[in-house]
Amino acid sequence: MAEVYKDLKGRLDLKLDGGETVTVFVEDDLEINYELKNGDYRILVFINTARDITLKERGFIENSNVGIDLLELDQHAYVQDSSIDVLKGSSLTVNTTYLGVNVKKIDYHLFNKERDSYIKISNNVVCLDDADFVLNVVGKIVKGAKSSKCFQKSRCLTFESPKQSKILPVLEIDENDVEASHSLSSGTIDEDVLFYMNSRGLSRRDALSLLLVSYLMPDEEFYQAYEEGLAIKEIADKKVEKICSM
Amino acid sequence: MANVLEIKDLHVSAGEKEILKGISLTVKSGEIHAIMGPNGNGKSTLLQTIMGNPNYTVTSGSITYNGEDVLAMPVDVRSRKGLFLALQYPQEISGVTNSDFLRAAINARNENPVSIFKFIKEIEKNIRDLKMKDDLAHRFVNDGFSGGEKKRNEILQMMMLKPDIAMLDEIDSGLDVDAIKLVSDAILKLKEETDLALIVVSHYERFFTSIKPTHSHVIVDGKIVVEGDDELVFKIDNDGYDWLYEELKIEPLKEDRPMVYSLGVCARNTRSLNG
Repeated sequence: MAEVYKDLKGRLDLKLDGGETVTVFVEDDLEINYELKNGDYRILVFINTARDITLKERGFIENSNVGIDLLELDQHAYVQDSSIDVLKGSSLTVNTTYLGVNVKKIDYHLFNKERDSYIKISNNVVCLDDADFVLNVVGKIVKGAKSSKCFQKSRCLTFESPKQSKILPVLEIDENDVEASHSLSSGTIDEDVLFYMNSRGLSRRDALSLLLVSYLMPDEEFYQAYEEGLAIKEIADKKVEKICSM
Repeated sequence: MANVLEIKDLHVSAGEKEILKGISLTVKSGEIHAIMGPNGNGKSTLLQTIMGNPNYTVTSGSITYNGEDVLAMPVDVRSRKGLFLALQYPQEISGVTNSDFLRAAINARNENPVSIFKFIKEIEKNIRDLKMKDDLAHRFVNDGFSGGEKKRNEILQMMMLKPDIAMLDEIDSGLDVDAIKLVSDAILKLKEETDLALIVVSHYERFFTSIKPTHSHVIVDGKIVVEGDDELVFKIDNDGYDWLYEELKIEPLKEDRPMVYSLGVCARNTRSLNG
């Protein structure tokens, strides 16, 4: 089953049982409520707006393996507040991509709520000049969630001098028998890498574009996984092209 | 018409320190120039300067390529004019696949973009010839590569970009005997097809035996102190540099290495491992 949700406003309840591939176009303020049970799910949340918006995510995952991809490449102000519980024996893998421009504040709270739960979150961020970007990622393994795992990885590429580029990976662990890690790499483009790329004939601008695309654009396989994936790729390509020409 | 790279009385500094102290060298299509010399005496600096590494400052002298002033060209223009540098320590570019990187580099030097079919056919053939892993095109540039893989990847890039003058900086270090043969065969094949000129820095006679230099130069203390043909390579491999220092009454520069300190137990036994 593959579902596509468009033209949404206000609230979307994703109460699913049995597994599905879901694409959600976020074009306005939206609250997504997840109740994902008994299956494998892959969900793409594609932010495609013409104005400043807020996205709220709430919900839980039960007896399921869930992958959530979030792609946010817009130039409008953006606020996200996400809180998801992962219950016994379930897994959640989140891959996010954010463009740091304008004012963007993102909060993730992911909870290993019960034993044998698994959470992995990877964030890719590119911060351009004048960005005011804050990403808080809190992974919490609660008391009683034995044998749970929680992993975080974030990388951020900054250009010139953003106003603020803050990524805060936090782990709160209230149980002993668990595995957890977090890592963050953040920095500007290495001049030695640029020299290397220039020495192969790429101008500074081409080299920067290639690096930017590598941070922001998922691979082909990613798009093929989703209904309307190719249409989304086309929109995303245009957004990145616009950024590269800035 | 033969391509000519001409270097005249080149003086180069890194920060306050003068490294090259008057290098002159002419390289023409089809020639293979071996550059030898002790570590830290200017071999890599020469190649990096020709390519335009901003860490080095040319204080006097000139470099021209087919009469055009190379020093006035940005690095990418030098590349598109036909110069290529295979680095001793190639950079890793996480997130950029070899395929995307090379296609962008090829397109940067062509008016029309290369057809995907032609590109894939060519890269796959070169990957096979260099006995590299099948998934190389889809892996990130040098990311997680072994030392030998990185060196082979430099040669793969050279084969795809087909430069007129290729500079190879210790491309054979980190390669085993079989890999050296593969790499030198690939270089010679490209040379046969395109009349490529080569400037090759290496410490090993084995590599030079494979590619057979037409000219050889020894750099000591930022100057070319002796020149010859492949016989000079073999003499140095057999006898080292001491005969040269004695004959010319010169001293090599000692390579600058960062001091490594061990704090020992509770920082009491601080000592320099480099003496």
